[in-house]
Amino acid sequence: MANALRSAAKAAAFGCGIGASHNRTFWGYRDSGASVFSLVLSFFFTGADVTVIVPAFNEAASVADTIRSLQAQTARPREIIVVDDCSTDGTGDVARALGVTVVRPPANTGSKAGAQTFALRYVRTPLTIAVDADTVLATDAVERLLPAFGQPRVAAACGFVLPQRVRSLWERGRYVEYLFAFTFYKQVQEYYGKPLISSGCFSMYRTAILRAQGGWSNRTMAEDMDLTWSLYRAGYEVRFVPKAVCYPIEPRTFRFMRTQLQRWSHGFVQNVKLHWRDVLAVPYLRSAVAVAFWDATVAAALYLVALPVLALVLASPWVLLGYVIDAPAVLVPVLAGAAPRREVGRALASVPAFFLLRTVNAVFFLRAVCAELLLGRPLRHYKKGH
Amino acid sequence: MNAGLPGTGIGGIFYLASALAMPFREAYRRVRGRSPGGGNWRVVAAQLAIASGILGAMWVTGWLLGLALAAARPITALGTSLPPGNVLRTASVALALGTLAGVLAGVELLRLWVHRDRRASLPGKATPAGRAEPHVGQERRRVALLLILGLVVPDPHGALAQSPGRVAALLARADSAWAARAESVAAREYAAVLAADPENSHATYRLAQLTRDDLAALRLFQRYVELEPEDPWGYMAVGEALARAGRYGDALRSYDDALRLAPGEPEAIAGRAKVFPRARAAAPAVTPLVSGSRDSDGNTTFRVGGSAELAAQGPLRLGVEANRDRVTDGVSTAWLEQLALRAAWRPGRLASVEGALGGTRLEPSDNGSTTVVPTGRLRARWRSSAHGAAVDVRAQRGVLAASPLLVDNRLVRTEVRTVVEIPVTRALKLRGLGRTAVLSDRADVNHRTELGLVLALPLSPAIELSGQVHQLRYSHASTAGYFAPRLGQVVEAGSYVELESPGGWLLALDVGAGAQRVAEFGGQPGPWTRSLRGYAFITAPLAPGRALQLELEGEDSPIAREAATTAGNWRYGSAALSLRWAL
Repeated sequence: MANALRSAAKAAAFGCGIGASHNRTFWGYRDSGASVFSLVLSFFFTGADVTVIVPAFNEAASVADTIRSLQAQTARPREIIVVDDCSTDGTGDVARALGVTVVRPPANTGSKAGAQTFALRYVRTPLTIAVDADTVLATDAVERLLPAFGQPRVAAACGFVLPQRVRSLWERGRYVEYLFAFTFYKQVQEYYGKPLISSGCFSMYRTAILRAQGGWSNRTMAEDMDLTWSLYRAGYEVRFVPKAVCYPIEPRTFRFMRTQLQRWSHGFVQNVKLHWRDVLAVPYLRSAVAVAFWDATVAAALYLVALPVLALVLASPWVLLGYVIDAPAVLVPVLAGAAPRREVGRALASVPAFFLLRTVNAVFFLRAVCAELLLGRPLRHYKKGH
Repeated sequence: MNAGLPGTGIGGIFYLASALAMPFREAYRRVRGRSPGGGNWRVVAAQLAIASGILGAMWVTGWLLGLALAAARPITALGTSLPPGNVLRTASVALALGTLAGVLAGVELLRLWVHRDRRASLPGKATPAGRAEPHVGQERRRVALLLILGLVVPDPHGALAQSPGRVAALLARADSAWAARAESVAAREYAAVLAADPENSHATYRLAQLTRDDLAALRLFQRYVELEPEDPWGYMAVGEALARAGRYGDALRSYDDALRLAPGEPEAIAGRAKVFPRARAAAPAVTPLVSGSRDSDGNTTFRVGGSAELAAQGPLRLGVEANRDRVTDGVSTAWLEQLALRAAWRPGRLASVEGALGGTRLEPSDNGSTTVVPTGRLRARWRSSAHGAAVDVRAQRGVLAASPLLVDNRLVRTEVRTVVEIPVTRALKLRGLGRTAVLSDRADVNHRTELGLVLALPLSPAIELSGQVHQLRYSHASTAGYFAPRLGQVVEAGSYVELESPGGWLLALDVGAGAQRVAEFGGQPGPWTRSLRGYAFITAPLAPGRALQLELEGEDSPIAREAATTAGNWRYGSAALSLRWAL
């Protein structure tokens, strides 16, 4: 805890970034010139020097849990701003009742990115956290992220993501996918200094740099990936902190899952289109994006077409075992992630759902590639899912 | 989000290899004093354990699969003495690693290609000859490069931390240099302004105007549009730069954006009018076609078909082509139907890749069963500079259908052809040609190889004279209906002329005259005999985006270059008429 505090103070002290010259003042000190002492003092009396932005559109059912988890943090944020994006279900009233700041844009911003960027103007702390309104944090999640900002060039940090509920088929598939990816892929990316995305559901940013980037852009359907790659392009670092855990609500039904997968798959292709030249200049990231793009296009096509065709040509249904042939290899990181959480049984029971989700995922990525790159039909309308 | 197929695909192999490399990287960093400490080793050990577990799981999977397959059906037919599990493991690992290596190598090549301009403009590189102001131009490129790099990787403690007064002073100096037409000084000063204030739109625009590197200028103008989205002149400048880059569709859209902001602006109207016909010419189009040919053996072909470009996205164009051919020798008649999807990608002015993939359905004249043959072609062309070295690689698989007999025998040619051009001097080019083909019919497989050397003398960009020698060989004679000598030799003088009128008429003429001699299997080379060939391509513009195209071809020679003949001394003529209608 003490280490985290020191690092946070140091991070904020060095966090002058591009916007340092603006010399915004708040609580009697400057963003760029805050002394370690004043920050430590301010932490003890008012909490971590962090503002949390919670974009919310019709999230009355889940936003209370999100706010309570933020209020229960061991490093309590200085301010929690809920952006009531013109909800019609009383989201703003729920948030207000819990004692947080609620801001409401004059009209619905049309996307999560729009709502988050709208709230950025109200942030007066050197660090900003973005948390989805359906996401709860482990009580020490904010505290765990703070030390990452001890390095002055770190512009963003994200944590480990696990589904809040693991009941339906789709939630189970996502649970295994996250266990696999955050235990293996993302940790390797972190070691090489290039996490592919600072997850949109829970990430911390240096406010000055975030502002310099113009906040979150709605030019793609994956604003978190867009922002992460923009930060790399600008020469900043992004960190993944596996011990900072968050729990979003994942799509329970195929209807919601479809919306989310559409957004994610189109967002990925849109970001590749938008950033490919700049990504090429970033070592390791370019390789990670290239293999991801290959797997989303060629491998997905082969996966969906080649195996059934081969099964037909060879008249052998055994060929279809190819869909699950890597199950033992997938199980290794999944179990390595589940064991410390004492969730081995749950992980094993959820593995079959992962293979279904992966196949559906391949279909959506292939469709997105066709629509975005071949047919010139980009997805522009942000559809809210979970 | 996980893009692609977590677990499957090369992503899994990539991260596996990354994890296995971690101990070596960590040790290296430790030796170089770059490792932060013991914490990293814990991460490395954890990921290495996971990677080792995955490797073990893969090995067990392969072993179990091998056992299962061996129990189900012996796979000795694979022609190996290795145990089946090993065969599967080896093949799948080799395939996965090869694909991963290919993708990673591809992305590195792409990086080198995309950033070639930055590399080329580094100080110390030679300036291309013929440039009016070599020092100024080089300096501009360097300044532009530094500027772009500066925009891409801004110093968080620098950039905007400069005082407004200093920026204003720098800008005043830059504007003075601009007014005095001291371009190199102005470029340097505007770059200094942007180093202090990257969002200074005025300096961005001016520097873009001063930059002779088209790509750098385009990026700067685009940056200006980002900074000043309400200024129509920014869109006009982007449109002009895009048109220079050959991206006419995008240029047209930029001019449209400009006209939306400033309706009736004469410059925008004029720029748009200038780009419009080219955009139409480059736009997706349908091209119906009829063609026919006749040779001295009495074979006649008639083709009806066409092609359509279905989608165009930047430098990528996708389309489809379909043809129906009638091949007759006066006695029997065969039919062919071809359908293919095609794609063309032109990443820059000096490189292009195009390909087609589909099938050809053969209806033999002898009422035999119809057959569908997979066919396709792939062609990649690259040139280092406008007058530099060039490479042209073609691979294709197609049906040879010069006569009904060939169709009946289902003669399929699979061929790879490479042409390398090296400029010996500015006035002389050397081309090497290598060509190898496999000709397979229902009963036989034959091989054809050809080597050639061309010495070309470009008199102007549109006229070229050449002298060339070729030698071809077949591996054995054939009775499938094509002439396959042991050896064929060609010596030829040729010329290529390309004339274009201001109205859009185009005439391309390629003619050659020389001598050939042939040695059949078991015989000595015969005498040199005359050979003639000619090709003409005429484009007549009808309206913007619409053009009538006529192709004429004739050949009189003992051995044909492209088509198959039944014997030596062959004469051939063809004509094709097509209408290109841009959508």
